[in-house]
Amino acid sequence: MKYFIFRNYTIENLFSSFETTFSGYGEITTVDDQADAYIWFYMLPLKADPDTIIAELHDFYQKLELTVPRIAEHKRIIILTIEKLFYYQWQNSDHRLNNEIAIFNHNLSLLAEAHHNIKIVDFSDFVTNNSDKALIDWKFYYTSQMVINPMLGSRFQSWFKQKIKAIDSQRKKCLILDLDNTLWGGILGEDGIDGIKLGDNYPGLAFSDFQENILHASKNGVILAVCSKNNEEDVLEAWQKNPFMILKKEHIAAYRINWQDKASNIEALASELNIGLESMVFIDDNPAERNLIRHALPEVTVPEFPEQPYALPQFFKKVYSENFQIYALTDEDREKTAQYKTNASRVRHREKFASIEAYFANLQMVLTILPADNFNIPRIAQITQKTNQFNLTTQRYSENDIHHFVNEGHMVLCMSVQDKFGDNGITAVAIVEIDKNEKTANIDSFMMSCRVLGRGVETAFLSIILNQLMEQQIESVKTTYIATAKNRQTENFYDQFGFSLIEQSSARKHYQSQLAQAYKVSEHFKVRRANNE
Amino acid sequence: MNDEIKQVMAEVFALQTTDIADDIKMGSIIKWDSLNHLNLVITLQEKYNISFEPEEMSEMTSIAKIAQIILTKQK
Repeated sequence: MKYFIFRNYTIENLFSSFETTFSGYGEITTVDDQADAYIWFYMLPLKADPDTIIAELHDFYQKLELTVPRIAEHKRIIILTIEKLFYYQWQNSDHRLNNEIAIFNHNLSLLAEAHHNIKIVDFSDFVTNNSDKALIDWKFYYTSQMVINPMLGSRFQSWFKQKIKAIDSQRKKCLILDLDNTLWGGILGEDGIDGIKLGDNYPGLAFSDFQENILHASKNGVILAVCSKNNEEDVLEAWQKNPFMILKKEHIAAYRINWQDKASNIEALASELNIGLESMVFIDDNPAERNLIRHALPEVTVPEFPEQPYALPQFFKKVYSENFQIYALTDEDREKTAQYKTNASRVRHREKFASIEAYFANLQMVLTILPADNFNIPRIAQITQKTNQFNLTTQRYSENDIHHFVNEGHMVLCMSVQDKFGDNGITAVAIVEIDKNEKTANIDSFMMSCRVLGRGVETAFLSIILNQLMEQQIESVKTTYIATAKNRQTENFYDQFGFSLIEQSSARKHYQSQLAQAYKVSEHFKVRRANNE
Repeated sequence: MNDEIKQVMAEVFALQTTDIADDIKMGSIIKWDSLNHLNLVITLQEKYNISFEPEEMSEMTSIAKIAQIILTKQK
């Protein structure tokens, strides 16, 4: 990139690492049309008379207005703002120069609005951040017409390169954050939701500001992710309940809160968010974690973390300007977090529901009831062999045994459970012995795979079975619970369903129930029956 | 000291040290113009952590003179 630089003082050393040619001092007669881009860097004269300085300022603007139309519209013009670098304030009541500078800089932004190839760089950003060194070294001013201290040359070059990067939108995309001693002081697992240091007073205030800063980064299009070794429930609770928490779950596009190593977690975050590792910046107070990521995932940027919480504002500013600086935010940038979040939640799906019922309803569960046939008998036998926990009688059967039940006219049903995440396949089995003459039935086996438990599926399955029995004119049903070492969770299943306990021994409970009214199946389920009759 | 100064000159002028003659004078080669003289002064200030006075800067026109000025400043 070849730059042509309009200037009124000696600034060659500030651009020594760029490919440049310079105008004469305050000269605009030649515009090098071989250049790829142009820089306008004028500085106020270091003179005594305010009127002279203001007159020169007006002259700068006239020169600029004459120059802009002479530059091809597709070529970028970077204009640095005017700052007061040194000034004799003869009367404290005289604010003319300040006001004139403000007007000049405002006019620059109007110019940039009118010409899309003009980009404004705020020079005050450099001035205020380098106040530790003398801005002007007067001996170089007098010997070489140099206003900016040449000892600040290398700092200026890296600062200016960052500004160009921002104009080119070469920013990183995602900030990955640790939690304990990073977003708050202390350790959540040890100090508790109320014990972590956030808000109130130091160091809590420093962490609150840090969270506020990160929130603003997110508002400026930076995607936030969390990678922390913690119990997920603890963090979710802290996000919800700690009144000083500024960064909350809704600001985080994706997170991995677990005890796995952070390198795998960051890789998982990258694929979940569909972002390259080279677009990620990882912030963690723990040097061991930082080292791990630097070695395991060298593409990820890992800045050092300050030892003292009061150093967080400077730290954050540096991280932001080096990695996330942007020239102007587009609407797309603003919506980025929302976009990434939607995509991520498709993967993780952890929406919050007002009630468990609402959650079930949202699962869009479909129960398909199938009578035993040659296709599913192997699977039915397998389920009787394998199911331990939700199994009322734990009878183990072979395929032949199942065929035998079917041939004897008994009811052998299985059920597949489908939800919006997919089909779980056949996961429940019931075997019911039927005596058509007596109009009675005995539930010999009732079992279900753990995969589908806890959604009301078990109650629905039993209701469906009983309704089918009634369709076959069965009037009374018996059943048994047989205790094993593993099926304790089903101990009171029939009691809760409303069957009458008629006999109980140490290991067995016998139940009976009259069948009169159809059992209602919860509306959460769509029930499908496949009849092979 | 003279070799160190040659080294700095080579760096600032973007030349090999072998291209820098012992009796090089300011203006005797194109590369040693006023702008590079300034760069030379700045680089030497940084390297030796000293600050030259304007009068010294204008006297620093040969390796020997530069070395002499640096030595007096280091005392």
